[in-house]
Amino acid sequence: MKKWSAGLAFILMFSMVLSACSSGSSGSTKDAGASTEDKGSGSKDKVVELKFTTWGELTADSVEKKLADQFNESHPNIKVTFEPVPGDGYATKLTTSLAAGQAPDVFLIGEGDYFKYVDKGVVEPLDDYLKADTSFKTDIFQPDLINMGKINDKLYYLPKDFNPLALWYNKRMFDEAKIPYPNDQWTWDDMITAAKKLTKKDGSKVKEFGFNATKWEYPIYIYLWLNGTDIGNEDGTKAEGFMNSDKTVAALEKYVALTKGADRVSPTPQDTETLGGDSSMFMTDKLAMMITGRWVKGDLDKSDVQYGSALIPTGAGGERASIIAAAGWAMNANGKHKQEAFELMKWLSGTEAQKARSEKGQVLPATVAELDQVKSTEVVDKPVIEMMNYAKKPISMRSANAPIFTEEFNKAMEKILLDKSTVKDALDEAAKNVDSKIQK
Amino acid sequence: MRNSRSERAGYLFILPWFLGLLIFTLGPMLFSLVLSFSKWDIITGIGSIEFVGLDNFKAIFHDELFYQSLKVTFIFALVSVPLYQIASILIALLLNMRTRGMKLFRLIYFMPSVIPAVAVSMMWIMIFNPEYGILNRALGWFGIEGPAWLQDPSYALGALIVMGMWGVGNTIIIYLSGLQGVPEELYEAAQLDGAGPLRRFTSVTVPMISPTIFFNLIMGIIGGFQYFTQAFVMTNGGPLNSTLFYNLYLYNKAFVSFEMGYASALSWILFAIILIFTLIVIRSSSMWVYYNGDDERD
Amino acid sequence: MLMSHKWSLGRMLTFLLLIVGAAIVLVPLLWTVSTSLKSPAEVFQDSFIPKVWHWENYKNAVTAVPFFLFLKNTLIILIPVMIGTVFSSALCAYGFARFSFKGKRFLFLVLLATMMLPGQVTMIPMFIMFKEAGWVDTFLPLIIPSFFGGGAFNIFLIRQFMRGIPKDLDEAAFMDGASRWSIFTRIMLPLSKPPLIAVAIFTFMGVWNDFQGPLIYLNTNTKYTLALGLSMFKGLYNVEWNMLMAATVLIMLPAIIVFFFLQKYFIEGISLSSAMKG
Repeated sequence: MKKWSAGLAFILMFSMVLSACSSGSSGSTKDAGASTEDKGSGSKDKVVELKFTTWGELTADSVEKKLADQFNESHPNIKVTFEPVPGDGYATKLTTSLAAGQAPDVFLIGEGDYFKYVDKGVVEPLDDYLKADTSFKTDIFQPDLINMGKINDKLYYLPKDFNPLALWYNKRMFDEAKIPYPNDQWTWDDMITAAKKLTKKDGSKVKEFGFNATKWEYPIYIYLWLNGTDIGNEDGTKAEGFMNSDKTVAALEKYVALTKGADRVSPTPQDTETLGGDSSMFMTDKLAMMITGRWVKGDLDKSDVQYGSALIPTGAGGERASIIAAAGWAMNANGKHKQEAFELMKWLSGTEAQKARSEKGQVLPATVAELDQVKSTEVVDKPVIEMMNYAKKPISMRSANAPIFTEEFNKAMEKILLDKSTVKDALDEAAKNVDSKIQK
Repeated sequence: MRNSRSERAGYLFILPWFLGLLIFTLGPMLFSLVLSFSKWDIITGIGSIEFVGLDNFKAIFHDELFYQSLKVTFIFALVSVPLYQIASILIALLLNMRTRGMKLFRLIYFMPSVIPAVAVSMMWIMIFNPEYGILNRALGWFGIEGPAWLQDPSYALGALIVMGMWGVGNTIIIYLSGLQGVPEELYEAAQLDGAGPLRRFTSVTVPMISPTIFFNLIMGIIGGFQYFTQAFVMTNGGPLNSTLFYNLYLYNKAFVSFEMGYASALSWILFAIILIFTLIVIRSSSMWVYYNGDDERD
Repeated sequence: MLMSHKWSLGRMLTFLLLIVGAAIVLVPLLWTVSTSLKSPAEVFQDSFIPKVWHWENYKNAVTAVPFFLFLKNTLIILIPVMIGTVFSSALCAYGFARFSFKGKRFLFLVLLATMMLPGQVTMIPMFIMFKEAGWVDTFLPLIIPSFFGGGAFNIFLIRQFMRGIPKDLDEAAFMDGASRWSIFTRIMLPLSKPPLIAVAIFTFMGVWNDFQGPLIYLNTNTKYTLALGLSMFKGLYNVEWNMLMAATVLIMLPAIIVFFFLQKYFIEGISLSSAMKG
């Protein structure tokens, strides 16, 4: 026993000595690195090196790659390198590189994480740079998108691309059932009535579904807003009385009833997964309507499905709401060349870049002028763009406590959908858990 | 053979490993030990590490998900380790027969273990698909309506255990090599003494391959506690945390909620648990593991 | 007569069991291959054999990403790692197998204990260390560690085998004046061919399939390895199962071929007859 502990102590000591040595020697290499970089920013004629990263965009013909090349041509004093990461590994990679102080100067963040990264202090606020630079005005962008990038009255994110949620419908299924397509006057109840007519059964088994009431939070948030409620208060500090309010309970009971019982109109989350996801079901005429982001177009266009888009139906009193899914450029708060990084951000979110991405056909431009042009020519995108006017911020964009809210809410939804609990009980418990976790 | 020259030579030969241990293992371990007593929002960089004493450990012992993840991991280990070992030994026995075509069979049984875990997971998501998956279709031929495997909290963990059975090729190969090390004379002698096949198995094969069983048992326990990729890709811990493996929970703490200190504390608790289990197996091994003329004790 | 009849019955039963087992193993694999040859629309349909064989899925898989560049990068990492792992683990295994020195038993236990470490948490310190060394975005962090012992499991495997080699062989050579080094290179290494090949195969599989390591350390996508590069498919094609499965087949094929040709050594190499003791 004694031998053991003596040996262990020896190893620990030795490793500490060694790690001290290694950090000493590596310290010198770091200094060397820093001094060359100092030279870089010290004299103006030296080239400053920048890096930026996105998920996806890995092919040689990616738009971002081209934008980087063009930026390098027009900025001889800056050399920017584009380093895309496979989607699966983006979070791990960004986290690791931020931890080690190795993160790129500009990186892309999804709207669901906007608040989280700002809250941790790793994103640089852009207001001072914008004030100093009169050539670049944020009013070229859709006001909603700039509004999204603002947290506590400071602007942190410049828009790259965005996907407003809208109602997508399968024309062939509507035609077959001889039902008129969704229109601007539709209320949520009108939609459910139509969904019932569109649902087709074979015995007790549903073969074709009218609408997809997913467990995904965004459509649920929209439905709750239309019913005058939310899962938390405005600044995300309280769940009791919100997540489990009578209004929320009533609305959710109605929502989950769509996937349950003899006259259900929606697949369960299991059904959806089984059938290869909502877009797969939609493409194979097994789903007539769904509320989702514009990204779904990419999938739908590959098949021969006849589809259209419409405004998300209103609440009983005619109110409307939507959420914009977006990705924005963030500046690394610990970057070494922030002014140059700002130049790069201007370019990556600016008019030229918006045009280039939009011409590729996958995304809508975030700038007003270009968007208006798309609106005037594109039929399918018109309701999608209009839906932007009703965008609200979900809790994940309002509060650092959002992960607590969403975790508990999702758990409650899971329980409800699996019939492990009633709506009321599950939400009561979730609200209690959220509040006690926030207190800590 | 123990003299100072030989001793020095011995140290020299293991030096690469020892240096590697210090730089690539103990250094990082020490760092994570320090972290386990700290609060660190990982993405804010190493400057923001803040010492908090035993706070992480205190919080862990009140953490519902910690116990859930322990439960999942223990159930998995307790069911899968014996199951995989028995299946592997049986298949290895079959594969040890000396007939033509064995080379091909060995290849087939080993194939699944050369496929990347991510690819295996993708494949099994398709297989477990309740409607189109080949598993439920096969069950349908026998008139059984299969469950929604991965989407049903009562079946998801079971589904992962079933899936693991498919990938025991590595263990089979290790048993196979153990079986090939059993001298033929022992079987012949037992047969002359009138021992039947079952008797030969229990009194010759099992004792002779007991070191292999012992090794695989330990590797199996370690593997169970380090289970990650499949759960990460296929269920991400769900439904209702029914597949929240310990390592997955640890990963989520570090890379999703950025609580690196907490995650480090979790990893040290995991290390302690594996160590205890392994020591129990090692201590008990003298009772049932047979060593063939092993004389070295120092 | 009776004896041989019984024997053949047992034999037939064995074969039957093996065939059933092989079918269970093979069906998912064949299904993967079949999915990889389907059109996107057919993936979620009932057919086991594709109606039309879409061989172009493979062509697309190879051309959609710079396949051969990734293959080259993988080999640039793989070859030195295999050399480093095999050589340095053999070296350390020899030290543990043939010499007695103070603390050996303890060090050996430490070696076994390191097999149990959960990898997630040493990842960050390792990354910080390699970043300080300026090795990020080079192949070095993926290569260099293999020269330091080559992994506890591998040392263990080779040590077990070396202990089974009769001691008289190297003692006789020692009496003849051969150095420890030449005993190692001339006697022990050639005799330990089976476990060395087993270690080489394990290493091959490990490097070939590694996703996390290259993901964290490599930034420039012209330096990507195959495992990392093929994960691009998930982004490129919004989970197009047929393409994903074509990529999967491409990446597992070499490993299967390597195993087929070396399986004899592989099985001999894993001898644990005198395994660890408490």
